[in-house]
Amino acid sequence: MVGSDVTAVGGESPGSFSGDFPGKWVDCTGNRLAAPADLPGNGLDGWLERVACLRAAESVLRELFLAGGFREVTLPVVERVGAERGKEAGPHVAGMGGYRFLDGEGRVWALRSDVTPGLARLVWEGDPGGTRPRRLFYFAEVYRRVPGEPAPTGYLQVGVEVIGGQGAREDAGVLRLAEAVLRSLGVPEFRLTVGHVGILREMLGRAGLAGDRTEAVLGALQSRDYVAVREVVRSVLAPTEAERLLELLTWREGSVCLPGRDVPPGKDGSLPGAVPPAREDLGDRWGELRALFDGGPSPERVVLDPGLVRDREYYTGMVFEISLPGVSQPVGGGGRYDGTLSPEPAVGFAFDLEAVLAAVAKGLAAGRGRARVSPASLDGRLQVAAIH
Amino acid sequence: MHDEEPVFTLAVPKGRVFPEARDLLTRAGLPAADLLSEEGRLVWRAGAVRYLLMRPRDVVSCVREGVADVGLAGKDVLLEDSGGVCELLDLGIGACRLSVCGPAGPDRCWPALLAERGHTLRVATRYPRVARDFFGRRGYSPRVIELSGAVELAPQVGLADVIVDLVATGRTLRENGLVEYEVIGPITTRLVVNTVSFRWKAAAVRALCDQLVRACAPGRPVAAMRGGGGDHHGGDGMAGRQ
Repeated sequence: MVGSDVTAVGGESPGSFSGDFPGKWVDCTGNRLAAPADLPGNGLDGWLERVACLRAAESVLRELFLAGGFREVTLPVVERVGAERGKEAGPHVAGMGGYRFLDGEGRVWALRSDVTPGLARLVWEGDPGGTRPRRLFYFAEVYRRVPGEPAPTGYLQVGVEVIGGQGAREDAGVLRLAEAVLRSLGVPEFRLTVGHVGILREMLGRAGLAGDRTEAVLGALQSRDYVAVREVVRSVLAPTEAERLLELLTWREGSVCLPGRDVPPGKDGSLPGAVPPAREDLGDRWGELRALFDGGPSPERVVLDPGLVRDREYYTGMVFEISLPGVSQPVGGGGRYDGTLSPEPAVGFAFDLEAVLAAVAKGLAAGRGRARVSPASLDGRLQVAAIH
Repeated sequence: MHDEEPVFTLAVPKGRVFPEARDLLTRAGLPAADLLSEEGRLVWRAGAVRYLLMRPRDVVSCVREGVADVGLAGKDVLLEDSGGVCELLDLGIGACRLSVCGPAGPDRCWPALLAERGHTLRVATRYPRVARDFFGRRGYSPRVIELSGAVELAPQVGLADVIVDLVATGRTLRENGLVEYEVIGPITTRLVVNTVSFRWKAAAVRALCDQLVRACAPGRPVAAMRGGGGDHHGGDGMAGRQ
């Protein structure tokens, strides 16, 4: 019944969702991929409740995205390999990290492992010179190869892309939308950790690191190897300059300063983060970063990590990741990717809907937060709850 | 009895690196670290810290999955698979090296062995990814045979031409008629943290780093702390050594 309070997701009734989602073996229409004998622990009822919960969540998000001026897009689950623009090898090539196969004429195809590349290509090739920016969203299964798993693992990815959108204001809007998504699903606690690859590159160059050393530092930051970051920086810069840079990127040995939540955004114009960059570190990019935070999500939800690097062959500017307490890995993230997937500027994000909903369920079980959506009735009807 | 949640959970490797790890944690002032034992209980709660004792190779998996917030992991294991964890400190303990080793002979190098035998190089190892990367960078695509232990046996029984494994003193190699051909890289124990704990437990992780850095300092070369190659004191390796 729309508009009522939701039933807590706790597993009290036979048909309700009991905590963790039972599995990930479903295609984009909700059909299972695995054999019936592989039904996860909660059996068919649990599986049906899982699908019902996902569809209810999609309804809430669709409403949110449409209200924000976004339009829904769907893309084929199979992609032609070799149709990509740009480098032959890279994470944006169809099927990288996933599954490829041949058709009868020797052409290579791939199960979709990411949505953004195909979407950027669709806009660029399907509507060159058209209205910009294009604000699009999608719900899509992506398939990736997980070591040790016997079959493709499907993730229900939800994402938004702003193709043709430029500037820090657009970036801030995407951050705000990410926050709205998490709030709308009833996630009790979350954090957006924000960095900026473009500014970081400039900072490294200004500090005196040559091109190959800059790439080495970025590579180490991307793989979260802070030992290697220190090695490279100390091998190139004088001690004082090296420690100043490391203070920003990682922390100082002996006086550890990790990027964290401890320092709230300052009223004096400083930025949130344990070691906020000084204006001189950012040069004329200060205003850009400032605008990102001024127009972005709630201050208590966002923290700046100047050393945050996500796929550096892909992202060119603002980057961010979404983390939830008690969930072992970030559940999503995004950023700006101007000119890497198509010649246009673009920014967006994506997240694993099941991981987010599982966190909501855990929060409810622990007495935290309120559900925005849940499969609440035993007769299989969906409820989209409006909490006021 | 501890009613409150631990501030953080620390995964500690059992095996050859355990005595050094326990000493380091004790010097760092972690509660009851000196009482840690490889025998008996595998889960310990002392004050705000919960200790998990496990095989060295399992530390990274447990930290990645969030079962432990932080852990002491060998660089050898991290080279094989470091996704999902942050590598914060080189603790300098458990120093050894990862090397290509093979039968003792006049040339003592794997290219000569390859030329002599005239077939695709066969490499036995517990580190298939490291082995493929190492030979791949040199233009070779060897047949990699993954083993879980007693790797030094492989050349003797004709299973492989060379091995890629940890070397500390080299005694085990000598006992099995093998020599070290080429060092792939130095190996030490690292402090790793789960990527989400890194964000949400920053203060606790920061305090732990402070304590460990101070504990590393006395009598230990700075290069070892900073991962500059380590002081190869012939100590034990991570997941076993030659």
